[in-house]
Amino acid sequence: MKIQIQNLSKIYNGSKPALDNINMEINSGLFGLLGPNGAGKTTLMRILVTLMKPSEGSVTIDNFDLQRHRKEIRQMLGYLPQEFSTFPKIKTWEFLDYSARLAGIKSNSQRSQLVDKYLEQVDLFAARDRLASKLSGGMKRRLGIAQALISDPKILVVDEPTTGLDPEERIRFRNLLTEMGQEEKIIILSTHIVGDISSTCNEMALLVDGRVGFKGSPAELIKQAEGYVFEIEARDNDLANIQEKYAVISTIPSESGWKVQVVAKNTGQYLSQSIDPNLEHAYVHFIEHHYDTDIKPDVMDLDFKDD
Amino acid sequence: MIEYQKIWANTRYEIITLLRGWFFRIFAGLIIIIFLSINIMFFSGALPFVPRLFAGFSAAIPYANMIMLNISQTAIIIFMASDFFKRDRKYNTAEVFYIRSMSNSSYLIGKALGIFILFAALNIIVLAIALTIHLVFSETSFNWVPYILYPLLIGFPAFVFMIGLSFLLMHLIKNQAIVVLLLLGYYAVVLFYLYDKWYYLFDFIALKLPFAYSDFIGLANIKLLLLQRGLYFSLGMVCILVSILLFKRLTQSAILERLTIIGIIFFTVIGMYCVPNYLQFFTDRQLLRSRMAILNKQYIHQPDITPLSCKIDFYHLGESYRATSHYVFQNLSEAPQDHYLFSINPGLRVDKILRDGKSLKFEQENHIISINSDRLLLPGFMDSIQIHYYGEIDEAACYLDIEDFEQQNTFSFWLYQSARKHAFIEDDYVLLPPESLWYPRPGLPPGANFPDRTNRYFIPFQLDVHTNSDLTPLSQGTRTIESPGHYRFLSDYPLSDISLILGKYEKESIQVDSVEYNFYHLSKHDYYKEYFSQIGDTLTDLIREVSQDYEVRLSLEYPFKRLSLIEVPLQYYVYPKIWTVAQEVVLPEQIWFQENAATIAGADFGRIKRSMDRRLDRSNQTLTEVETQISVLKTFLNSTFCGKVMRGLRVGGPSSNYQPDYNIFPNYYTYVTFLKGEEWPILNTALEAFLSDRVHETEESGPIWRARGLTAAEEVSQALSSKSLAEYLTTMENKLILPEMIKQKGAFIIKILQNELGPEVFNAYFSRMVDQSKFSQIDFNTFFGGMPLRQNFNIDSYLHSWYNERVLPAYQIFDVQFYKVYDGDRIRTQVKFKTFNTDSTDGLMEVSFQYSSRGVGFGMGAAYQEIIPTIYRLNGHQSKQFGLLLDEEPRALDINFLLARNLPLVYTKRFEKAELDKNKTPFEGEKVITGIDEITPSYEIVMDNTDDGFEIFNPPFNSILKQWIHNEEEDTAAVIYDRIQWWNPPHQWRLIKSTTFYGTYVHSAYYIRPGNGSKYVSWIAPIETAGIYDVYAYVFNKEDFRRRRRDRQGISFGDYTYLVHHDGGVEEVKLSVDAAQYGWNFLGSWYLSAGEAKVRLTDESTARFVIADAVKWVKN
Repeated sequence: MKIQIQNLSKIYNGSKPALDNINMEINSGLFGLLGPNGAGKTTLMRILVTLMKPSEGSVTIDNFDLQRHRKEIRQMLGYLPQEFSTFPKIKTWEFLDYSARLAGIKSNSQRSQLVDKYLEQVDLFAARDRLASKLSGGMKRRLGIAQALISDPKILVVDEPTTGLDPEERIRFRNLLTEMGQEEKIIILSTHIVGDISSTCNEMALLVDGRVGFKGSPAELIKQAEGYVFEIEARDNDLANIQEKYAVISTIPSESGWKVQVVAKNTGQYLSQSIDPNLEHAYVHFIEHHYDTDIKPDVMDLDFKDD
Repeated sequence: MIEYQKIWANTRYEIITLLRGWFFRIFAGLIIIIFLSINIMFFSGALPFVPRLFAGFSAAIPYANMIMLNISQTAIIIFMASDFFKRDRKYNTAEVFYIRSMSNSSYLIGKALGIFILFAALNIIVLAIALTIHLVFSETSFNWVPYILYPLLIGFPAFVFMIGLSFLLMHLIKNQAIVVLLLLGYYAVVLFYLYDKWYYLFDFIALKLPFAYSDFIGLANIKLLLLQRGLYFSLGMVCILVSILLFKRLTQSAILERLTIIGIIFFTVIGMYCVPNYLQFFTDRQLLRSRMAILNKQYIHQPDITPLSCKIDFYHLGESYRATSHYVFQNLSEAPQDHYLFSINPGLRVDKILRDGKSLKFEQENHIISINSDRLLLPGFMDSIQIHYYGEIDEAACYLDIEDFEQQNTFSFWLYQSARKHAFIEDDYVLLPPESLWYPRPGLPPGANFPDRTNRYFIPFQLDVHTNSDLTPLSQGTRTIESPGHYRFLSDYPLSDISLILGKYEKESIQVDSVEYNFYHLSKHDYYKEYFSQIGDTLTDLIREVSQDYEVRLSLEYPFKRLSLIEVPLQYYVYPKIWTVAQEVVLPEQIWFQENAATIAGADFGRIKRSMDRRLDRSNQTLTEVETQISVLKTFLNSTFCGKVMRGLRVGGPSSNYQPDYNIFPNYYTYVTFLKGEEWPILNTALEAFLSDRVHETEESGPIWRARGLTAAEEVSQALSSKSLAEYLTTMENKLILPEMIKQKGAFIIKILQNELGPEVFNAYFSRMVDQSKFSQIDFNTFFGGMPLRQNFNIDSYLHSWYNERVLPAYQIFDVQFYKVYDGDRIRTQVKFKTFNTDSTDGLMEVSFQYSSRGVGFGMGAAYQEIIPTIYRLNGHQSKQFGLLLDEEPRALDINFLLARNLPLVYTKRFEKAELDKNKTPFEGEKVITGIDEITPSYEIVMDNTDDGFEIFNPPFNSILKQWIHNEEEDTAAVIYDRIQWWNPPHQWRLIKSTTFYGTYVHSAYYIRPGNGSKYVSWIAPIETAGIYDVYAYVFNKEDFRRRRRDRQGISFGDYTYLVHHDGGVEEVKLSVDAAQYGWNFLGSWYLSAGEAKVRLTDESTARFVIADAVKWVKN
């Protein structure tokens, strides 16, 4: 499976482009999408799941054009949006059943089996007869995952899937995605939780200001940050100055004061040691490098509901 | 391509979502409870006073349920249809469904279907409730078709329309509150204003469409109904399809998108077809009627040929027929004729006219056939022709004189609307009354020449009918079966018209003396049987008794060999005619009534029986079942066919605009003879109206608390005060009171004759003339020539002034005396009174008395009047004293001035117990007196409320809302009399009339609800000579306002506040009405200078109402 994105742009009502000439190829497996708020991640995903038309460019999924073959593409899709909390007056199992019916599962028995299976998988079987609107935040999220998976989609687009999940659930979900990633499927994962990408994705892209800033493996992004990540031993009265001067990743109290991890070219007068960067370091390094700290990013006000 | 599974998925979960919502649950729950209650109350027979029509026809129950449901659910559909869009916007989880592989039409149609199924289920529940009540409790015959048809035709198109409109507006406006407001506003405008505009085109809820279903013919004008309902269904579909196109979700099927566009075009085209075709039905009819009216005027002077016999050969061809009419006729005019004029229904085409096998040239334009005879027909000579024709009946040709014909396509009673049909021609039912001109008639249609020429010929008829052998043919005359499907009717006597009915009837028959009584009805319309199961043996005697009683009242005998009561479809509608009292529900030998007697109150046998049982219970009496059944049947026969008013019965039911007259009278006179007068063509109509009135009781008379504005006779008198009968008939204005006017005029001329000859002599003479002239015309000269009138009695001059005069007499009544007197050695009751005719026109009065069943005085039992009043004549400016000696003591004197300017037209004087006056001598008869024309002494100044110096002050309401609530009319030039409602008097001064008020010949006053003194009336009179004047106010007879015996003690009339203006200022005088006497009451004495005197009466009072009548100033 392959998604080819060519010259894709999206402009809302004459404002700055939300997507600006995106060119990208996404192959089977887990693909992570990272970027700050307003980078265009949600816009890109809504275009991919046929909720929105691009202003320019094209998307092809295995020779199916997104504009002309919506029916075929929708048959392959599973989608979990970022906002997923308000439900009509139907029960948990009914919600899954409705999704399954719309996904084209005609057999009552098959549908029933699938509903039970996915309820088990997301640990919602005990709440099957509860109204979906009465579930807790985490349970709703799990239900969202289940309905995205119930149609056995070839393309799964998930936006912040682990929001609201406890660590155990998060690990379980990552494992589930990893398993799915072994099959001939494309899973696009958009998240702020860098750990979700680092632990699951082989490929990733970093969107900034509607453009692809980086595309490659997480390891490649990490490599870019080598030599730019330091750990400073700081005293209490240095902390404020360090936070102002450098991009601080973490601040951990120590015997002498604070161990502060920063991304920078050098740490100046502060005593520090270079450490091996992880994906989070690499992401911050990339953003800092992109904006060159003196330049603040534009805040884009996006309304996804109007096309 | 059509994703049934996806549609069903969306439908299923829409239903579940709505069912779990509180809004629909509450609505559905309320609907079920309310409809259960309504059905039990109105259709199960639980309530004792439900009108007959509620159970009268088989579709009554589902029809009412469907209309009420449609009205209520339309508002809810608006909410629910607009709600789903709002929900989709609100639920952020909706997007996970949007990305599924389904078309937009699957989604939206699924949603719409979900709402539809829910409401359909509710409709089914309601109809199931109705059906249960119908089958288990109601005595109405059952027909399953309306239960299927009504939801499909009434509910479904309205549903689709409202759903579509809601969807579309939500797409465009995106705000549920605004959409709901807009749609509810539109709904209200249609419900209360637009519904009857443009022939009910805007009535999408079918509130006023004629959906009444007949067990004979089903729905009438089905094509018209389908056009109107089809319009709204199409509009709804267009809106739904446009909503699909506008839906904010990327489409996935170009083919379906194209199909949606094609669908929009298709339904738009259907809608565009429906509108003009629907309207054209009415405009075509209007054009036809206009053309017919023009043609009638064009041929009005064409002389008639006089038919001598008619043979009709009729072939029923399903929804049309073919026939031949063979006429023999004579030229009785004074000039030879070479053109013959016939009228026929314009839906029928004449294809040939033959004389002795040879074709004659003719032209047919609309309803007029103009035949070119190839030779002259000299006066007195005869001819015969055969007219061949075929086609259908165009009902627009009927009742040309009715102006609202096109405005009202339906007649309504309560929630029910029925089409107005005047003829039927279907595969399994035919009804052809004379009004439909189903066979050609010589001359113009009946009534076309009215009033210049009216005529009725009596000729022998032969009718041969060829039809299906399972249809029963009904017509006038003796029927023989020539062969299967071929029937012949030979009229037993010459007739003026014949009719034809073909239907699947059951027949019940009974012979009473020389008359065969038949009853034809549909086989399942036999609800009446259970109420008369035990009186089969006594039926003969009962019918004989009722008919003899009727004939005694009428002084005429039933002339035919048979009388058939025939059930006809519900939609059959008749209008009254000006030129005859006969309505086409009473035909020669036949009476037609709507199916199951749905609109005949007297046919509600269950209710009558229950009412009877309750009355008997109250008076501790019992009757056997046989006696009860006899009584119920007698009530029905008397009230329906014999014109007797039965207490508690209202013909036609609530809010009904259809009250046909089933009085059998036309079979005694109208279809028996005709008084032909070339110079006085209206005379027969007037005579007929008067005779008919003899056997029509009314509820006109009654004490003051039941008095109306103006009675019909008073309206006529007021109208005739300004124009003559001739003028009204020429202009045909004021059509509403013309029939009553003709009747009153007819009564007047008869009473002149009765006064001249004596009532018994005249009645006997008249009956003899009718009997001798049975089934032929009575010549005017023969009729009056044979009457034993005085030598110098000039009937022509009476008729001339009767027809042409404008002025009416005006009477004053004085000095009414009531006492007992010795008449020989008997004590009798003497009543004397004086009358003065203030006008130059001669007049007649009718004097009668009211008696009580239990003694003298009102409240002493039921009142009854003596049957034959005494008639007196009073010439212009003449005064007479009248004396009457009675064996019984009456409780009231009634003087009916017939046609006069008096108001009220009936002077009523109540009596208390009469005392014996031994000094008086009895006086019976009349004598001319003099000296009472000067009724007002010169030193008295009387100012009545009808005089010029009387003023009213009604301040305007200080808010528009109050104005609207009280619905007060603006002052107009017309004098309007109010109905007296002393228990709920008006908030502004209103004019009322009664004998109890002061007046020369108009006894009227103003009355008002008591207030704070801001409203008042003033009497302002010119004072010529200064001096001291006694001021009086006129007070009514308080006894006239007492309704029941207990009122005599309880009711208080309070005080009235008069303000008397005099030279020293204004003085307030409180007059205690309780203590006041009937007549003039003294207010006080004041000095008045020459100029104006004024007395004012305000509304300030402790009474229930304030009455302003008259005041007078008397110089000391």
